[in-house]
Amino acid sequence: MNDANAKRCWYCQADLTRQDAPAENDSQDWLNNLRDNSPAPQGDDQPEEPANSSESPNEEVPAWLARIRTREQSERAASEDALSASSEELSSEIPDWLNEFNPDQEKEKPNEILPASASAQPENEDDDWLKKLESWQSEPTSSPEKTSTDVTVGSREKPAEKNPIEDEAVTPPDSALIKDSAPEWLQAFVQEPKSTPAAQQGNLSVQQPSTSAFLPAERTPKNEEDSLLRDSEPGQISPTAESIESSELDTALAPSQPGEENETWLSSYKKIHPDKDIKEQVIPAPVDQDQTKAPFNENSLMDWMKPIDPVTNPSQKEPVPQLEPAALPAWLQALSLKHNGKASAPSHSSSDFSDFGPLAGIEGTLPGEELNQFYKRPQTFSGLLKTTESQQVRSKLLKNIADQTHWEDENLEEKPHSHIWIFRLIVTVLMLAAVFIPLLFTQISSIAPSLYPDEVVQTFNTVNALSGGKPVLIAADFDGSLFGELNWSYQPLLAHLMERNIPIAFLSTNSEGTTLLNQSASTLIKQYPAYASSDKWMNLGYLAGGSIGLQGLAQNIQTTMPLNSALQSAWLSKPFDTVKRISDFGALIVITENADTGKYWIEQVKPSLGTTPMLVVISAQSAPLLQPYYASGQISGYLSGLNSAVAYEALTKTPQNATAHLSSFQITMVLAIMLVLIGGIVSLIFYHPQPGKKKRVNS
Amino acid sequence: MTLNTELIWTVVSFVLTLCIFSYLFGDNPLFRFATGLLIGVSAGYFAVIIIYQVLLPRLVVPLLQGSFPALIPLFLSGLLLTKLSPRLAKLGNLPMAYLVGVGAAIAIGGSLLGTLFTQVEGAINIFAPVASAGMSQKWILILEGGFLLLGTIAALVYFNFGGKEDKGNSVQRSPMVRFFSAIGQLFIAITLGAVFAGVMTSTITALIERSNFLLIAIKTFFGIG
Repeated sequence: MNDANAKRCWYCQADLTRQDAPAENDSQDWLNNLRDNSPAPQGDDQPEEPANSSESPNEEVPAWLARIRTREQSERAASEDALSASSEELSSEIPDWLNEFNPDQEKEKPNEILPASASAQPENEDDDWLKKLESWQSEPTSSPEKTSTDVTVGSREKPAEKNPIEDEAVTPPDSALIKDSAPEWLQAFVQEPKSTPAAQQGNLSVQQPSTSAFLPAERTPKNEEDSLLRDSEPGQISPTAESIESSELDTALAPSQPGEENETWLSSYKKIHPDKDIKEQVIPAPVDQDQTKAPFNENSLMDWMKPIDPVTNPSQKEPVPQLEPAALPAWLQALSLKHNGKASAPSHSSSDFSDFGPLAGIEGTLPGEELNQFYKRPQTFSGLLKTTESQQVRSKLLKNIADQTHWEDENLEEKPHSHIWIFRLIVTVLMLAAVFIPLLFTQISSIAPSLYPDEVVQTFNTVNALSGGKPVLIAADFDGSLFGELNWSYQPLLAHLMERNIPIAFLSTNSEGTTLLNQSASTLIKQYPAYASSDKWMNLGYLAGGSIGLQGLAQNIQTTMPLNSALQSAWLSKPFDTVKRISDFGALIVITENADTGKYWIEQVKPSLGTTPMLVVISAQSAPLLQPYYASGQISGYLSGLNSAVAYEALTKTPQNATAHLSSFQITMVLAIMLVLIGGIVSLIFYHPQPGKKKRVNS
Repeated sequence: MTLNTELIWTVVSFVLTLCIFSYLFGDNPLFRFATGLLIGVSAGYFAVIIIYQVLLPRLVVPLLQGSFPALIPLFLSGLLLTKLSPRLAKLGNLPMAYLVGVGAAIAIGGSLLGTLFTQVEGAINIFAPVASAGMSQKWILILEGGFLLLGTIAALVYFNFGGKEDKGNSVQRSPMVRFFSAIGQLFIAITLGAVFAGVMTSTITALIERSNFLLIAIKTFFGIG
């Protein structure tokens, strides 16, 4: 938006102070701005002054726009200074039609109207230079009819009255003065022709066959400038300054069409009426599409900006390829009412009423039944698994291997065995009898092992070799499911440690381990009262994090387990104050029923133990999976199940629960083995699976 | 008989043990009650353990003592709690990625260094005692080592699923591979049999321990012995 004090519109250059300024000046102001290279008007009453004030950077405009305006002001001021010295000479020597762009000149002769006799002579002169110009043209390509319609803004109608400028006498300017004081575009025109000898003969040599570009049908001041600039280009027209008289220069600068056609380009100035709103006269009213013209005169544009005229430029008569119309997707075109022949305007025909569905009877609904044909099924992609050839080969191999193994048919209908509970009851009674009879009748002796497993002996030797001052760390990583077995398994080992008065610290990676260990050790603590205090028996509690926690324990035990279960510092009191690292323990004993848990301890903690031995008490069901770690020397020994506990008690010569229940264990185990054998034999004899039903069908 | 806490817990243990033994007659409410009680008590006890042995000593106490590094696990734990909300679940990806990444790295490193390399070394060192053994022991050690080596290689060959496609468009392993895989299958069957025997041993031991408890409890209830 323009500034409130601005007198000229920054965008359209329209004078916003039309009522205060003289009408002639108003008409000249906006015309002057149409000329880019015209000299800036001078004088105190110039309309540029209020325009400059409106271009002040103080205006609320963006910074970049303010900089552009400031630069333009400085350029205008510089051009004004350069032209101020020669403005008076130019005003008297250059043609009057050029003087019209000089506000000072206009002020001296406002609204000057010459008599008709005075305007006859210039027409004669125009005839002279027009004849010369016609001689330049190789062929008459420009038609007056066509160019008469190409007028400037607001010049579509022929003016009713003449502009005084077109009637005033044209005084040919001196070329030397023009050379010295003319604007740059005129200086270029004067200097360039010197190099062309053809122009010295007084003729303008036309080297290009098409002169229509050089001589547009209608000349405007702006068009004149462009034409002259084109003339100065080498290779087209090479006039010489010496051969061009001042009259010829005026002739060259004069409009190409005398008379009425010559007045056409000037008629645009006549249409500006000072009494009317200048915006309405300048800004064209919206017209129909076929009558819409460019905002600038076509002749005032540069060549490269002009539309190609197939008449004036035969080499470009070929039709210009038109841009293809925007192509909508097929489905969108199908949905278009226009595409379907439906009028865009709402109609009240019966076809606009849907006669079915939930919108039946509602006006303006889309004809849904007609759209069904345009609906397409969305593209679906195959969900088949793409496999490579090698994968298919391996798949076939795996299938062959699986087919070699006989499987019972999972789909075989399970027959209701009403007598199965009888067998279950019989087995239960037998097992309980095998368990309770040795418990009730203690005189039943068991068979004590005479040979001890190597891992049990190594465990015993390791514990025997422990130093009394070094504490032992016990990891109670077991839950309540196999607590009965593990309790009898680790009790002799725990009793051995207490007998040797070795301090014990224990922790667990599950929530129940330490509690169960603490509860089961309560009977032992009664036998060894020294372990009732925290000096010998410390519960470190729960170690969170699984294998990550084990890694942290191996790296820095004091940071990982800083407090005991009573939330007291664990490593400040004796004898645990000597423990800085996990390798400072005398031994690490892991009690677990899971082989994976024992493996995690071996993998994560054993490398940090160094020479500190690692022992494992594990359930009998996981012992075979732990055997390789003992064979490789990663663990020093392990106890597995009741048999190992009995052997350890025999080694320590302190029979406890394991030895007391050995007879029951042995009888029950014998019974279980017999049941397994009998069941296998019976199954082998009486169970005949049908090949077609009970075996997996091999392909 | 005095009524003390030990006796109360003995009665509770006795009743729950019988409830578990009632599975002998199939699934029944007593068995389901005992298992449900075990699961519930275990979960509640685990929560108490987490609060008193993890959160308090490792998060709350350090924060009260001014340990600012404890804010990091607090922040990550807060992000992990956003997993409860579908809208904010993405915020929990950071601690989850940290946990999974660190856990995987530790597990892989431990498996390589603690199991794979050491087990290969242990298989190689089977014949190490042969050099220091006497002539009579040497052949025994060689046979023992050869037997273990054969079992190890055969078990590994069994899990090799490489083969060639024959004319009948069926893929078959080479005869050598099939021979060793059959031996490996035998070793694997022996191993699984040993595991099954261990399971039998463990369960029978647990049965004896619970039976002994019931017998002691009955003796305690009736004042016998």
